[in-house]
Amino acid sequence: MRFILQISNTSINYIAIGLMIFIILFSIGMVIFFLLSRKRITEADLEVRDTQIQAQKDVMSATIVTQEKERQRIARDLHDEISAKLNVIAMNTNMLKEESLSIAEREMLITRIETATGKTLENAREIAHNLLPPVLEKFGLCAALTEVVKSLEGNDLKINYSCDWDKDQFDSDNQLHIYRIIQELLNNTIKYARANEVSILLNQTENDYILSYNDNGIGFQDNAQIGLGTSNISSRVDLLKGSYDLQTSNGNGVVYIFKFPKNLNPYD
Amino acid sequence: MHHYLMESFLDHISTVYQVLLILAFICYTVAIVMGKSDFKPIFLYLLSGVFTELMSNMITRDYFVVLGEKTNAPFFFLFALLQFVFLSYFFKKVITCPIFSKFFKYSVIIVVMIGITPYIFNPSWILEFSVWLPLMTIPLLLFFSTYYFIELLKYKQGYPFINIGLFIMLGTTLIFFMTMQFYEGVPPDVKILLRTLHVLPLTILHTLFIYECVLYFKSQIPQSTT
Repeated sequence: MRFILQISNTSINYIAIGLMIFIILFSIGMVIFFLLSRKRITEADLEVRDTQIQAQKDVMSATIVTQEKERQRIARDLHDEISAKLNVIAMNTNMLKEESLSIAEREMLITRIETATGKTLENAREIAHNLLPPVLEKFGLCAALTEVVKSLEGNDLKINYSCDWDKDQFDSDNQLHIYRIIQELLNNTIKYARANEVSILLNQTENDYILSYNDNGIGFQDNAQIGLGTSNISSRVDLLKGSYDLQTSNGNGVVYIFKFPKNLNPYD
Repeated sequence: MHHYLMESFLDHISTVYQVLLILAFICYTVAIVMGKSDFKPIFLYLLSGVFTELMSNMITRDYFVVLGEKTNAPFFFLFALLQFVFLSYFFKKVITCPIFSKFFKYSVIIVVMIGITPYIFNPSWILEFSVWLPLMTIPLLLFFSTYYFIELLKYKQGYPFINIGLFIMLGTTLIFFMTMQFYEGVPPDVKILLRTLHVLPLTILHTLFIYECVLYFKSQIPQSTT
């Protein structure tokens, strides 16, 4: 009986030893499994981060290219419009120093200087206006857009425009972003879309500001046709923490619906 | 010769365990001072471990006796209880599942009640090496550990090495205590092997505790961005 008990107890202890070794080996397996699963999570995170970094790089590069283009345009405007006219003024002023000039010739020179000065002033105002429309600063987005619409409307283009956005609830930086977005859209329509009707509607819901833009132009289908202007729009929308939806296809114009949260602050 | 080697190995590994316990205790004390509140339960667990080891050593060296007997069984009972309380506290802190939080309190109270009641009716058990309390408390801790491991697979944050260390220790300890009733007539080598397999996971536990703490210290070193 004692012998049987001895075998039985020893066997139980051997089973226990086996189980303890199994637990140790199982735990080693747990460590390996855990490390592999964490590696997988880390790799997935890195992939997401790479995509985000790439998107940021794209936005940054689009911003830099746009800035450079804008600088080139301003430099060209200053050179072609302002410098050329200032040269004319300087040349005519020098000629005025000639003592042999008759009164009629002097009057002609003075008239030329007056005309050139007036045109220079007009051009300088235009350049400043393009950089930051004064009406946007003074009277807000709706008024500035009304001015843009009036300047573009004519026989070839009909613009249906309405705006009920509250000027006071929108800070000037945000208004400028929206203004630039609409400018870009109009620019695309005029340059590429061959449209004769455009609709710009700015209204609001309880939580969002809604901007709907559509034209009846040729539209587009190929993603390659989405250029710098569109990336510019995207980065401005991101800055405003908004979102947008674009519907277009060949021959069917474009429909953009933008949504911006109320009480937005781009620097949050 | 074979028996002597096994015993010598057990002695060595026991010494390694005690050194690692003290090292882990120092590391977690520093981490607590640095403000790592998640480590508080582990610190308390290590503190109770150090206390039990110290008392056991003092009793072995005849510094004092407990109720006229040379036994460390009451400290063993106290440690089993504190281990359950502090490790449950650790899992409460780290497991995020709301259902777990809802039933945690009740499950811990019920297990403590079941674990302690026999000792209330039979206080002499405290002076014996009764395995009732650990056998009642360890399965619940093992369940918490398994559940936390599954959570760790989903999230990046957490303390996987502490958890795996606890799993090894709790699993082997449970089996070790379950077989304590069946020592009669068992060859000494088997007993030594069992004790070795009980102490070895403890050294693994404290190594993993220290490793997790080192990871925390490393995370506190400011990283250069250049």
